[in-house]
Amino acid sequence: MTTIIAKSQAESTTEGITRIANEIVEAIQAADYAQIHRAFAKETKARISEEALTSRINILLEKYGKIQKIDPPRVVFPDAGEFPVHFEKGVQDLFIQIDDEEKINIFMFREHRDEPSGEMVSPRVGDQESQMTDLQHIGQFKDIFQSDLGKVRLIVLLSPT
Amino acid sequence: MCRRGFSDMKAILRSLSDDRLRAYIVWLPTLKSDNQAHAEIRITEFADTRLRYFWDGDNATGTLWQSLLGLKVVPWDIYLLYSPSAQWEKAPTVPDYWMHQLGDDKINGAPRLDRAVFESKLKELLNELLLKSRRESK
Repeated sequence: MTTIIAKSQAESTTEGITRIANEIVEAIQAADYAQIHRAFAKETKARISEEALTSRINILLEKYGKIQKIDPPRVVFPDAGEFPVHFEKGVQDLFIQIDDEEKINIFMFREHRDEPSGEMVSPRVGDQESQMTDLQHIGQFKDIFQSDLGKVRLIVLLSPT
Repeated sequence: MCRRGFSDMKAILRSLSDDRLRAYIVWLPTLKSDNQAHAEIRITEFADTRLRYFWDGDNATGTLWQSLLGLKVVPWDIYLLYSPSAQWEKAPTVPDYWMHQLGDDKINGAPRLDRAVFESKLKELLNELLLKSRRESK
């Protein structure tokens, strides 16, 4: 079994992120989602359980079919990259961002765009807000509401389907 | 319904670049098909530095605002605005303004979601904040 994030000192600055993207695709093709989860940074693991990751990938595969190939990155930085991934029924962009230890901070598939997304100009973890907090108790929400005191706050309650 | 509401909120956030705004979108398990994995997919549709997403598997927020707004059922498809001074002590206060997509035209005085009206109310709150900061700086 290939181990994602086997750092090679010979890699140039952007080869690492490209290699990790390729290994993620290989892991998905092998249905080895645990391997991807093991490559997550600690905070990412806490935010997305292996079960949630598996469900998320399975929903993606149900919608778009099997992965056929991954293209070279359209935009790439030493710590982040956006890679078009071709499925049987369409193309999605795989976006990943890694930390100094090459652990994955951000992992997401999103709708394919012809032009690289704006946030890729200067990718930073804090700027990528498409992440979700799993509320364990209402106090978590209260703390965030209170921490934004002085701002106008918009709260939306929705069903995801 | 939810897709339209989500779409409206995305459009509002895109049109208002004001950094004095914070948005929280909470996904609730309301329908049989609702789960965290679906919510994970939805959040990939839109990102904004002022926006946080939540998965509330226990529907704690829905239950809280059901009580607060005096609703008969746990709500979803509701859109709440809070002024900068709104505090959450034992419980959050009643929102300064809210809209819904719960079916009836008006529920407890709150109208159905209308993007233009909702955006206008949001701008009013932001303008009040601007006026306040100008008064304080004099």
